[in-house]
Amino acid sequence: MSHHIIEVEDLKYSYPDGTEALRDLSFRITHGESVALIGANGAGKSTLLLHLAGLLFPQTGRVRLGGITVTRKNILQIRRRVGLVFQDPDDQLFMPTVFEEVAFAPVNMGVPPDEVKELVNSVLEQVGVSHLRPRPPYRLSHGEKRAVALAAVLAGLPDVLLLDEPSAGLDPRARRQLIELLRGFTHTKIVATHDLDLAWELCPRTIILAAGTVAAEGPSREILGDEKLLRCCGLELPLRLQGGPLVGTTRE
Amino acid sequence: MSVLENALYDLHRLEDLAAGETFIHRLHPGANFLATAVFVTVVASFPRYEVTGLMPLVVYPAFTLLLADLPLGFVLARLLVVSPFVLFFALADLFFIRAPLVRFGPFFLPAGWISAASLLLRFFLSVSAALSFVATGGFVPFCAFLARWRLFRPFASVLFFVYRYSYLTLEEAARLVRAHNLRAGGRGLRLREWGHLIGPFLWRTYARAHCLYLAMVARGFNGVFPSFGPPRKWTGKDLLYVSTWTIFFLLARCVDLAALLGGLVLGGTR
Repeated sequence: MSHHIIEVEDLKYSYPDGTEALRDLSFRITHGESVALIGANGAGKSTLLLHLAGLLFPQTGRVRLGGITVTRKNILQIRRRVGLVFQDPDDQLFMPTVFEEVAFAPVNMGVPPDEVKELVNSVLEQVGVSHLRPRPPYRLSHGEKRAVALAAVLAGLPDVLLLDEPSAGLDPRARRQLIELLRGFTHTKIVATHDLDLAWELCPRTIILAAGTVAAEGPSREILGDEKLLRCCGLELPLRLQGGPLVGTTRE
Repeated sequence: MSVLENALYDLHRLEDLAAGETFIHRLHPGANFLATAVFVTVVASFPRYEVTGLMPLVVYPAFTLLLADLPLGFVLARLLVVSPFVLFFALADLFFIRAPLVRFGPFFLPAGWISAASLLLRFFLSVSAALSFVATGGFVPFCAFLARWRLFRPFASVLFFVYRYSYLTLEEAARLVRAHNLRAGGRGLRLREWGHLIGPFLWRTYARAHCLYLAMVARGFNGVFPSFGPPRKWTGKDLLYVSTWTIFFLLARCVDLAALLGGLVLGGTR
């Protein structure tokens, strides 16, 4: 299956104020891969995710998904295949109940009402928050909001899952649950994160972004074990390699 | 809590109340809307100096508040919050319309007093009915109800966005004011500080609104308010509810029910 291959070629993007967010960025992610996107603040991770989701368009270069170049003309087709979970769930949740929040994508995609109900129930079950179905999102804890935000994206049945800082603000138990949940997904996953231990556990491959371009890429164990490289890019070794406590796991 | 945080709390409270399970909550949103719309129209149609004719209409908000199990204190507090504007006009009537209208023996009651009472009563009736409509049906289900008709879809989308973005604006304003108060040593916002705060406030609100919009677009939103679940059908109860209230409102408008009832109680002396 080649339809989930993501190719980014010489991507360049500057914000209207002139800030160069991405420059000459190229990489390729194959079907079913789980890739960590790491980098210091302002390295361009979130901007890149917005390009992959078809919410921003390259000024030069191109983004291809399954062989199709992302353009304004085929954007609806692309957005059906890519699901983006935002960094802050409060930026993503806007409907009055969890059910309507999760139903938002399938309803917009024209799924018949009976199937929407079934789909929402199954996704909420999968994420482990079916008890929150009738509740308003603003009454939920941060961890619950994040789970609902993930369910809301999964309900769109995307092939590719983009996650922006998925473990930010989660307590150790919720973080562990999230890791286990994501580990079970067969989607092609791109995880932009500062949580290098999560990257170590979840993603066999890592791409480091620095100043809007790829500074290094390769197997996570090699990249995340290279202290010199990480320091150059404004990062540190994962806690597990520093001899620090392993968040959310039991010490042996 | 600051004024802004209170306002936000009120909005959340209204949505919580709308999730109730009473007879009124289970009505079709259209039935609730039609009954409230006819009620407000009838209330507004009474002449300027009418007070007794309006009295029987108190039954409608009282009925919905009681049956929907809405907290009376909460509704009255909201009425007070929005009342200053109407109070101003009522006071203006008291001062400027001094022509005598009603005579009690040697005393005359100025027309301004009657029109002020009528204005306040109409305000109380209309706003309490509107509040109970929002608190029993919810604003978003109402938007969904409107969106069923192609003609009203843009209107439903605009209403929905105004509602959601008002939340967002309040949240951002409350955060900003809280951040200021934490470091302001107990003093309030000075006039010159508003200038410094208004820019970041607008920018932050815009940035969050943009994020929210992107989140919607990423999930297939194309400008049309989506409808959730199959269209709810009107039942006999809904039709009975609307028709009973409409008949009652029209009766109250055409017949002076207060005088009629008074006459009956006093043994048909009138």
